[in-house]
Amino acid sequence: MDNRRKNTAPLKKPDIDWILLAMALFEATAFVLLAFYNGFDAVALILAMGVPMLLVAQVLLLGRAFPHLDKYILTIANFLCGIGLIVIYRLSPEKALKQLLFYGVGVILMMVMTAMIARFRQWSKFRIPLMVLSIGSLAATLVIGKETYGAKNWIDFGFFTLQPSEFVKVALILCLAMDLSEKRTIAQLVPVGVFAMGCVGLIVLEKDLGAVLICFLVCMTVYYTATSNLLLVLFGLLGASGGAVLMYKLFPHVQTRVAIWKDPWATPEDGGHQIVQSLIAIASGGVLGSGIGLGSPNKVPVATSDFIFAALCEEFGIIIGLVIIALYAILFIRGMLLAMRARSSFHALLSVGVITALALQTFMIIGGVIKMIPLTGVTLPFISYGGSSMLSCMLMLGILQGVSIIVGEQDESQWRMARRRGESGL
Amino acid sequence: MKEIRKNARGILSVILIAFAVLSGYFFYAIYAYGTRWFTTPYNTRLSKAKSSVIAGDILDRNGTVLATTDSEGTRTYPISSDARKALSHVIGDTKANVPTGAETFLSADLLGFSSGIFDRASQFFAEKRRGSDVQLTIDADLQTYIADIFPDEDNGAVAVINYKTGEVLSLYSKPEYDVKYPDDYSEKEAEQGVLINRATQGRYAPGSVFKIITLACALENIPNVQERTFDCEGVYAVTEEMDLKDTDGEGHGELTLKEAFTKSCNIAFGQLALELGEDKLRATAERLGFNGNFLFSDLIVYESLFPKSIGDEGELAWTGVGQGKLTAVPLHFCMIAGAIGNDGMMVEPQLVMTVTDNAGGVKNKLNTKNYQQCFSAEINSVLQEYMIATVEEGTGKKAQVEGYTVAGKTGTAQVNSSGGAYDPHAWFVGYIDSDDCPYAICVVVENGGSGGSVAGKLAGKILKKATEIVK
Repeated sequence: MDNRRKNTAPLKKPDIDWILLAMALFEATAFVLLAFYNGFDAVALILAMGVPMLLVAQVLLLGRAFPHLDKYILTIANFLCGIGLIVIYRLSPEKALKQLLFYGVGVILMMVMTAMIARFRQWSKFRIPLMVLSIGSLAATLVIGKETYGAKNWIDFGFFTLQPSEFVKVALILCLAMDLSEKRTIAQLVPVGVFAMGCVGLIVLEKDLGAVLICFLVCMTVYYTATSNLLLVLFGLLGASGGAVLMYKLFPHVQTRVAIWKDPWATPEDGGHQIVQSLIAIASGGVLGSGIGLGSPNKVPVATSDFIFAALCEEFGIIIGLVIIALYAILFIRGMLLAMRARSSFHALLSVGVITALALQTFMIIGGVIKMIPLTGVTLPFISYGGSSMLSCMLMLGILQGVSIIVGEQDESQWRMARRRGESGL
Repeated sequence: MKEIRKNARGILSVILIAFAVLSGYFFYAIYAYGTRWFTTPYNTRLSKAKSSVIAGDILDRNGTVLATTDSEGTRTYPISSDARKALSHVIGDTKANVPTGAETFLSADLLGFSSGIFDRASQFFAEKRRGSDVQLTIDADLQTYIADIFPDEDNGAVAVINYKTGEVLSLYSKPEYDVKYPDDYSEKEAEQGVLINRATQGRYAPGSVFKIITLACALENIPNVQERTFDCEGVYAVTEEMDLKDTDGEGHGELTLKEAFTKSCNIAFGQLALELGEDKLRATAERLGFNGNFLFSDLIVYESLFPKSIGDEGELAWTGVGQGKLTAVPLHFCMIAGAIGNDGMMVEPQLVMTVTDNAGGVKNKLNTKNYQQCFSAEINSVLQEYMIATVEEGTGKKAQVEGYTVAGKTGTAQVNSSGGAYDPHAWFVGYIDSDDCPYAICVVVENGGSGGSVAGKLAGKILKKATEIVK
């Protein structure tokens, strides 16, 4: 391989303005249709301007101000947020306005996170506070949390509810990347190991199976990336499978979950209700969808969060469903490319952790909604309704953008140095 | 760092493969199961659409309107009451009590869920949208004729297909119900499953028609089996408890394989099954669609069942002659007979001919799809020869049609019931060996008696009518 060339030429900044325009038009059209569908709705009309503006402004302004931001990742993530807003608005305008608020806060959080990753050098100072806060919030959830759909993973603050496991995911990625990028002996890894096991253990106690799976597999993946120790990872996966089988044997609700996955049509109005309605919704839309406002996605249970993919497919069609899967894939490719270009293992591991978490979550919920795998109640990143989910996704997006800035600056300075060397050589 | 880069690339590959599988499964699932999910009774969109959309017409292959919606929005059936009753299972009711009927299974077209952009645009200002018209491959006259000549006292099913194209010409099921008065049936009829279309969903003991499969399996697995002779004394002790008997028990004497088939000798075929063993027999049966999962796009067809395990030798011998725990679906057996007529190639059954939307766009839905090459050319020609001989000189003589070569196999399936002795089910499966009239048929008359004289005779009449009227 021609390593020198690869390292010295700055990555060409792609021109994606026309894609951006198409995405903005898509969002605007959808909101305009919503504005005129059931009588005139002024809010939808405002959103028809506002939401595409948010997308375009971010990409153009932020992209101009920080040329090393990854425009692909930024565009895709914001477009997915926009699609989410459209579907949520169609189902419940009230929820969509809340989601818009979270989206706005999320964008600010993302920028803060980007700046911190790009400029802040002393992350080890945050290590202990992050760990304490994570364990503390998870433990608190167990004590004062509230139960929904069998899992006790929410803390109710009255005016808003918080799902700590969403944020613990981010903290876990940060801590893992910090410790695994520097310390390599087993003894040195004990603290982060204990922390990771503590988090996973507490989430098991919350009975939040989806979050358990994501956190555990993120740990395994980041550990494997850092150490290439496949043996231990396989051992860990084996142990986890054993644990899963044990849980299946011990807990009736896990058995029910698997039975529902095998044949939801056996209990179409009972346990299988969610999946059955999800499949019916997807099938009712067909390839091109019923058109926005013309389907009945409100028949799908939890249509705004866990089952939003089914609601989306009904009105926008399977074709948009596939486009969204492809957009996620592009986002993951761009993120993983950052990991491959990074010069410090901390930043590489950060990207790997974030991408693994997002990819797992996307795969698990889409796979569950289309009955490919048993359903685990997680949200669809950037699209699903939910403040905690939106904010944690935005934080992870910020991590990726921070890494992108660092990688870009490194590439550029190296390129400048090489050019200077070349000029003096003349 | 190099390691990390390599590992990151590996993880990305895993992620991308997982997402490729996800997309692939998504596409496959919708393609294979979409219509089935859509038409379940749990889809409340359908009942909602029925009140807001005018359902399209259902027509038969000659353009006769079977079901339409009048100006007041009620569903009417502008055909004679005999025809209406004969066709009720095919049409299906509007309340999805007959989920396999066209009204429900084809509702995506009838209610306009699948109509194109132009159709939708053209109806933008219409007060009530209208769905598309669906033309079926069914010949209403042929099906009415079948209902007319079917034995009055008996229940059963008849399936007729074009085995080259897969077009379903008739799917008759008795007891009949009346789609105009869908709730109007007696308790006794409800118990008998009056709403089930027995041609596609009835699971019967096949009896001797299964010998076609035993024969094919023997031809495939036993070298020179055609030169063999069998000695039949009417009874053959398989185990101490289990005797294999022929229906009349007289004994056929010394037989070649061909004679054993045309005379439907249980002793010979029981012995063949014992020699083949259950695994080989099951393999052949499953290749023909037994225990499978038919996902045809136009209609729901239940698969026939070959037992997952066979207890002992006695049961194996009886399975070889079509008894035991075997069950057979009439349309499936019609497809098997058709495959033999079609040089071994089984085609998918098709029920929809055209779909016409309101903008006048006609979609031709007939596209022959091969389901499975069932038999090799040599074996298929032996099967053809034996089945033709069965109708020419064997048990199926009554199925002959003047001017055509008919091939077939009869079956007289014993039904054991705790309620005492019943007459056996009479079966005939076969086809016309003709390029102009490539029709395959399956007739089942429940407790009708002898396969040859009851079902075979019926099949002969129906095939003759089909050659005359089907275009």
